[in-house]
Amino acid sequence: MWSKLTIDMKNLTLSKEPLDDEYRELGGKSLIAQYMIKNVPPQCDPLSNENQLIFCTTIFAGTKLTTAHRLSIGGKSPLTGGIKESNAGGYAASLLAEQGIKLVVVKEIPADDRLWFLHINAEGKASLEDASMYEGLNNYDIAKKLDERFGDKIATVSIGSAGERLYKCSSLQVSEFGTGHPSRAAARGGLGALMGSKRLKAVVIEKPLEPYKVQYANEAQFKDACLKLNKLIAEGAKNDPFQTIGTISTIDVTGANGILPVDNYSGKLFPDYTEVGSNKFMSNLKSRGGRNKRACQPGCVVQCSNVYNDKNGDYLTSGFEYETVALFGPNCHISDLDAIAEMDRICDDLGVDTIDIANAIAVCMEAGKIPWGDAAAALGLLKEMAEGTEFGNILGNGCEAVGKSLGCKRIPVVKHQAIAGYDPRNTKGTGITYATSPMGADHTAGLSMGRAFEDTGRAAQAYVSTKLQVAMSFADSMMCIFAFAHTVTDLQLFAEMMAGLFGGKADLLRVTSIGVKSLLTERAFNKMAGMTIKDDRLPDFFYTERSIATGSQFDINDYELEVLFEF
Amino acid sequence: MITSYNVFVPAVMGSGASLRTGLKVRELGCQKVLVVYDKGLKDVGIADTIVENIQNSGIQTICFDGVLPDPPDTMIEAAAAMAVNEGVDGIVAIGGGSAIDTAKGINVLINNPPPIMKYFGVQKTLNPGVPMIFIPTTSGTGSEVTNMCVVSCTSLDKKDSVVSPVCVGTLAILDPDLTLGLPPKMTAATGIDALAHAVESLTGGQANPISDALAREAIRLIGKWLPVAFREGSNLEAREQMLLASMYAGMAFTNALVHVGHSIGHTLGAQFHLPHGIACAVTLPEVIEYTAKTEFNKVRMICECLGEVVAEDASSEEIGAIARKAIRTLIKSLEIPNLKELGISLENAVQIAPLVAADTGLALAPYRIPTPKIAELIKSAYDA
Repeated sequence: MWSKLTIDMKNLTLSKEPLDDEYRELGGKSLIAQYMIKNVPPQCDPLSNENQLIFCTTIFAGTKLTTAHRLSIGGKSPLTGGIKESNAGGYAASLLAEQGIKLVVVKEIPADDRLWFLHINAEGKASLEDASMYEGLNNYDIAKKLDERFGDKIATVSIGSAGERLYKCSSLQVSEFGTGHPSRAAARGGLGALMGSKRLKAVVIEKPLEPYKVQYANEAQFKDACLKLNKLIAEGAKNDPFQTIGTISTIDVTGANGILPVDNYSGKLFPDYTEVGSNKFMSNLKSRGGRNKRACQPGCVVQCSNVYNDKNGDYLTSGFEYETVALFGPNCHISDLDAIAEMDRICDDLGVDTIDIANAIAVCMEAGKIPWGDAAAALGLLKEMAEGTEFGNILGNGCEAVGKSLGCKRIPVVKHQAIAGYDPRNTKGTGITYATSPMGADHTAGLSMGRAFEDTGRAAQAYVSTKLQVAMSFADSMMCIFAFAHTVTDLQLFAEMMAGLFGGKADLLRVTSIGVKSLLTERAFNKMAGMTIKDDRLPDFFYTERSIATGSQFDINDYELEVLFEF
Repeated sequence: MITSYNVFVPAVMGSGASLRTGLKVRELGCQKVLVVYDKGLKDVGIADTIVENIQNSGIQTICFDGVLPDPPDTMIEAAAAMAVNEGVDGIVAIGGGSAIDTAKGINVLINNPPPIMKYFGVQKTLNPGVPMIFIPTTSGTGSEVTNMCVVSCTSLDKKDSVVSPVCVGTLAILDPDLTLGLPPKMTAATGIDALAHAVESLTGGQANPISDALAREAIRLIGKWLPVAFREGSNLEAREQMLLASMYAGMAFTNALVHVGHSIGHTLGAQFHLPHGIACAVTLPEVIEYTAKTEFNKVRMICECLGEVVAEDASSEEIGAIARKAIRTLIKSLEIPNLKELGISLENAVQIAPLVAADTGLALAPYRIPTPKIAELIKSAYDA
């Protein structure tokens, strides 16, 4: 049976119990939703002792399903003030599953300022250890020090100085399988600050001497379906540009059709978008010994990750993704891919969300604090954040905080969280997702691009957004959404796997209802936290300003948004 | 809002226009055409007249007279094999939606290998077929001007459609003389299908100003002339106006598409084996009332096209109620039965709601309609 590890930071105690029966068929996003609604007061201050920091694995953790080892992190968001589930790849979930742990909850806050880390050793013993020697360290340093101390077979989850300083955009950084680089971020919603408020600097998981064995109701049924699904995904991934290039390949599409954000969502096209596109990326990898087609977790067949080296061929960053490139690049009028990679590295190291921070930099440019396209000035502001200057502290709180402090009128946020690299006027279903997702403006909750009739049209956009939000909600409970994307032709296999794992009927409703129930639970949490339908809207300027690239405005009527989650 | 409209099919229209068929086939450069129709049209002499007309223009004809209602894929594949073997360079379809859709299916398979089920959905890269002339003999489907063909898939036991430029006719010939003999029940069932196309395309998510104009005119004509054509089948003016209305509605919905009414209609039709027009009609008043919540300006237009007076300050609920009553009055005047009169129990009728909710046609609904709301619509329409 799976275990639940509960850590009380006030009394500095740990307890390990069997996982509650009610969470047996849940994992990832769905487990966090159900745990939160029962255990975290929605109106609590996110940085107070009442909030809880939750780590969990997915429904299919411990099995051979490819990409089943995403790590979900949950809590009430310091940024949005609502429920938050943020997930990342990397090695941690694999080792947590091998340790037989499904759920880790961190409660309360310590009486004093001492810093701790959670250590789960090879014998399966969990303990809180003194982390005062790591205080103020950023993620690359602490990952290295932990590797030196515990060997390079460990997985780590850590916060940088941003999380310690309680920046509302702080991330948790998870180490990559194989390299140990802390470049897989659970970045959105400032959960790094929640971890910082608990005075928890890191989690170190060792490979157990005896790995946990998953108990199946019908192992043959599970394995049969799982094998078919893995084959389906591997087949689909072969021609997936996310594998053959990486997520940066999206630039080639969005740069041409106006979905790529340019100059703080001005709606213009960016003539130099190919400078930050696939060709430039691939030629830089080739000439500098970089790599793509990397798996961030063991057994991944999608392999979208990468290693990006600087001009001298030295490691600069990894997990270098579309949103980071789009938002630090064209949205700041910057076309220097190396400078953008450096920004990615700074953010990973400090432990902040590249999406929110890059949007904040664009807002600085719009407000005239630094010039458009000035990569050196942008790097300068990031260094201020690293140093914790007065403005750096504002920047760490993200796009909305910066926009308000500079008096900027066009602040691209929903539920206080910045929009993610796709102009909602030119992919309106994505705009609907941004507006209505309980997570705030989150592209991973349902990116409609290319899935409705016309990205710039109104027809079918709400329909597609609802379908995707339900699908992403159960996908985020099971696996990586990039692998899930290749399974849509045979979703029934998931039902077979549910039946093989837990018993009962192989009914697809068992899977889809996980998605619906999670969304409704998350919305209920947000409502109790004080959110209203007014929080389910895009910023005004997307309604009133045209995208110059297409002439499009965001013209989805309020009622259509209001009834989106009526099931 | 930025929208777009595509005009697909040129048309020749008027009493006697079908006698131009031979000339038009020759103008298209065809030498040997497949003429597609059903046995009924042969029995009443319409098919022979047109076949002879084509032959008199020096064109060779091959006839396929085995069109079945709700054309099955197997029939289409057999007819397509015949067309390929004979080496035809054109297709003429005479009849209702079934004959025209059969012709489209054949055209898909002329240069693309069978089975046709391989091509269900939106197809952008099919090999082109041959020129097609469509001569409708009912006023309802509008298939003569659309880019889609509906096929009954026998192996999967469901209807699906191919949407492709290969399904677009080269010319439509609209001759009201051919519809004079249509019996009252068929006149009502096909005519109300055209109304469903018009009101749904007007209120759907893909509506545009040109499709709106076409839909409005279709509604106006149907409201005025369908009851006349129903009562006096030999009234040529009524028949001509209905043929035009059906084409306008077809032009509107091939651009703006249809939504909830057709999702309910397709599901009811499949479950209880109802004619398409009747299945779409039974809940149409309630469907349009539901759209009024957001599309009240469009629903106001529907009311006005049906001759209703709507107060300037009417609320969306009031506008919806007026539209519901007006459409129901029209349906009643055509003696179209409600679900109860069709002998379906309320329980069985309401049970289709989840199947409707799963229909992808709902993508075009003006706003989300969940299963309970669909059940409510069906219940409210049940014995209305």
